Amino acid sequence: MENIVKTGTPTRARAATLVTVGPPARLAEAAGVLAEADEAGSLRHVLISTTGEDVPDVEGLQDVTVENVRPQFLNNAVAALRLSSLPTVVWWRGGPPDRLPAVATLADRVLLDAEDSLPLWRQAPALFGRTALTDFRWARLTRWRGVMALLFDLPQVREAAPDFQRLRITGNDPAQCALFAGWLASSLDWQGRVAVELERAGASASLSKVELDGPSASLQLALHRNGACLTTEARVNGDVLTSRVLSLGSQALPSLLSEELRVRSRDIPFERALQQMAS
Amino acid sequence: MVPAGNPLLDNLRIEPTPGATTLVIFGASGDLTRRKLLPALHTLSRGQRLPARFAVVGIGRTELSDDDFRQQFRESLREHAEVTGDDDVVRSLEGRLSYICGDTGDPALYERLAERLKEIGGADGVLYYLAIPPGVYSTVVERLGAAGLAGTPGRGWRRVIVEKPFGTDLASARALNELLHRHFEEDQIFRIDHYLGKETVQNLLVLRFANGMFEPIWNRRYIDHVQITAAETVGVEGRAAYYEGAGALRDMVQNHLMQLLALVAMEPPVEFSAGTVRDRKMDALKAVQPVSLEGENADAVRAQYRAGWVERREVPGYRSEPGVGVESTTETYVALRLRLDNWRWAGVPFYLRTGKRLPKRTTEIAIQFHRPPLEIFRRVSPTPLMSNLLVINVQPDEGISMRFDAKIPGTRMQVAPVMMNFRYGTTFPGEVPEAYETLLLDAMLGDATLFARHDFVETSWALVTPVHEAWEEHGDTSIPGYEAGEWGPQEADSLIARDGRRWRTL
Ligand SMILES: NC(=O)c1ccc[n+]([C@@H]2O[C@H](COP(=O)([O-])OP(=O)(O)OC[C@H]3O[C@@H](n4cnc5c(N)ncnc54)[C@H](OP(=O)(O)O)[C@@H]3O)[C@@H](O)[C@H]2O)c1
Repeated sequence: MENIVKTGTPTRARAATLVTVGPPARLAEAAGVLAEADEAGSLRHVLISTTGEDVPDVEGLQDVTVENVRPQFLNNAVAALRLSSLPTVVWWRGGPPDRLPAVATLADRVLLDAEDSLPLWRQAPALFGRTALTDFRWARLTRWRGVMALLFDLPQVREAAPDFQRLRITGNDPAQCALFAGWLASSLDWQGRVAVELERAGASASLSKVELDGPSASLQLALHRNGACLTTEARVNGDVLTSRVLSLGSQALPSLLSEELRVRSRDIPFERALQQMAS
Repeated sequence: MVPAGNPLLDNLRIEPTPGATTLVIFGASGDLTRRKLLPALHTLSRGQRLPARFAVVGIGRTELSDDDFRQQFRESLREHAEVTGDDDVVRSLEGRLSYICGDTGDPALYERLAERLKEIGGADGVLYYLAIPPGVYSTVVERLGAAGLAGTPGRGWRRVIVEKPFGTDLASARALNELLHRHFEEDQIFRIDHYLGKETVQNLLVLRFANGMFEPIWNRRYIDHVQITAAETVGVEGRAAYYEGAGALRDMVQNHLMQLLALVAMEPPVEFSAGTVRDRKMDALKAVQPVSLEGENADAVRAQYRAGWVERREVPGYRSEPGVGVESTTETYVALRLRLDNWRWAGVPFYLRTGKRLPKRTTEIAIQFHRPPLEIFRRVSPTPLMSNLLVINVQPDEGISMRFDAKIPGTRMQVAPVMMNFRYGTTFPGEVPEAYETLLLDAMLGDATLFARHDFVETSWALVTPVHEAWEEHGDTSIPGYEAGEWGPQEADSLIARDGRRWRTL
């Protein structure tokens, strides 16, 4: 036998420090999500609450919990708790938007997940060169974007694309709908040529339908009645080119988080979509 | 003018999907289709990796209706992918499946196939998958060619995936390549080696060429030797008919182990493209010298498992397996010592071993470094110092481990080897794609990086065939044995011990 020192239980490789920032109620929810996320086991966890209430204890998860940090010292807390040997990912679940830049510059990646995204998105463009930003509203669009991109694999659709005139997006989360519109407008370089209509619908889905029309072609993505799939249809010159039902994948927070934690690089289409919205 | 690229794919987290594709599976009623291909298609569909316009045409001799084939699809998902539900993805994919019953030797089959492709809109991509016994490959290739189904039409493409084994010796591999090249261009041919689809095998390229710290020491000045092991616990598992005509050398070494060797030994490619990566692998393979078979000092050892105890039970010897002759000399174990004559590797032996009914299922590449030139701790440390080791675990438990010496805490200066482990499963939880998913998708995308090129296959056969022939000529009815559940025969230990080294105990 080879002579190797065996340590008791092998320690799991730590892939990153995840700093979760927010008010205690949002941290409690985050702790529940982390307990279910595949990636959580490989992270070093830091939870920082921005108000005075206690952060609920979640066994085995928190490596460090810091309570009641005054907003102006949020970045100091992160600076003290990050490790230079591991990437730092900040999961921003709430807090004063004006503190985001100071915290973001200490992070390798920032996952925005506030109840109101818009004030953060206004801060975001100034941070693009300094950290890799994303937003859970954007993460929820990943499958929708993928499915739309599939339709653009068809040469007939690409041929008709310059003539699209109207984009109509239905859903109950205006910020998310606007983000999808921003992505299409920036990727297809519309420069205001296409009329964008956002319709707020009462149903529970943040995004339920996308329709893109022109004189010769129309594309439609819609949430399937089961809520777990997307139906897609592309028509060119009145003919149905393709019509499919595709899985929407899991939209649950633990799987979205796991997916986001696997990414470390900048998300240029997201940045462009935000810039498009700002312009 | 249609814009060439898809403007929405830019940086899309969901990777590119192929253009419209029809997958034609020859051998759709067979084991490979059920166990690997259909589940892989389902996973790809779930992950939105299949094109918007996608269809599967299955071909087999068994009489099946389209509905029967769809039923087989569901069963295969249930048995081999643990998909029991009847979700919309299954239904949507199922609707794209159809079946043609016929014998591959019958020209009418190809007329029916051509019609079916036309109905589907066959101007786009067609991928033929030869999931049929190797004896039928040539018939299918010739008939596809004769029916005009092999050539690339104006818009779209035709490609063919050829399963293993690719030939049984150099002559048959050459003949098969020649036949394929009569009807398909090389860039239309995708020869499967499923080891190349494994995540860790691809990671080997990343480890070597995305990091600055390994490449400078990846040579004869720092590396003492390399051991590549592919160990299985299973026996011949009802595949005696195939295995009797193959043996470990042709079943494992010619393809999988040679691919691993080439990835370890290759020079850095200037870019990550199919052509360059495969050129560099080819250079490495060309440096491998013919295997010496001279008497006592032979660089090849073969053996066969005898009865023993493995996987917590007693198992019979190879010759007692159903379908195996009592005098069979088919080897179930091979160990080789290979020499690469080039500047990087001169004097660094590559030891390869593979076998069935070994104690553990594991595939790994171990890079053993030289000892430090001066052992300054020899007098103070009671344990002999071990050389540094870098282990790439290919399966199971994919990962990379590094062994180095560390001081044992305490007032005395004592040194002991420690392992630093990186495991895919812990650092990147989530699903690792199955090799067949990666390879099917790459073939649809036209990316041949992870497939074997004609010259690689032939050069590899050129190395292996003389060894096999020498064993055949021997005409001996005896073959060294090893007990099922032990790490191969004495002869393999002697082969490496001649160089003052020993196999790693895994
Ligand atoms: N199974 C695996 O895990 C595996 C792994 C690596 C490589 N492979 C390779 O994959 C290929 C297929 O293996 P397999 O295990 O799937 O074999 P299999 O279970 O015996 O299936 C062979 C298939 O080929 C069809 N076939 C045979 N002769 C035919 C003919 N003349 N015309 C039309 N169809 C014909 C059979 O159709 P009918 O049954 O309807 O007659 C059946 O669908 C082989 O080359 C094998 O070496 C298989």
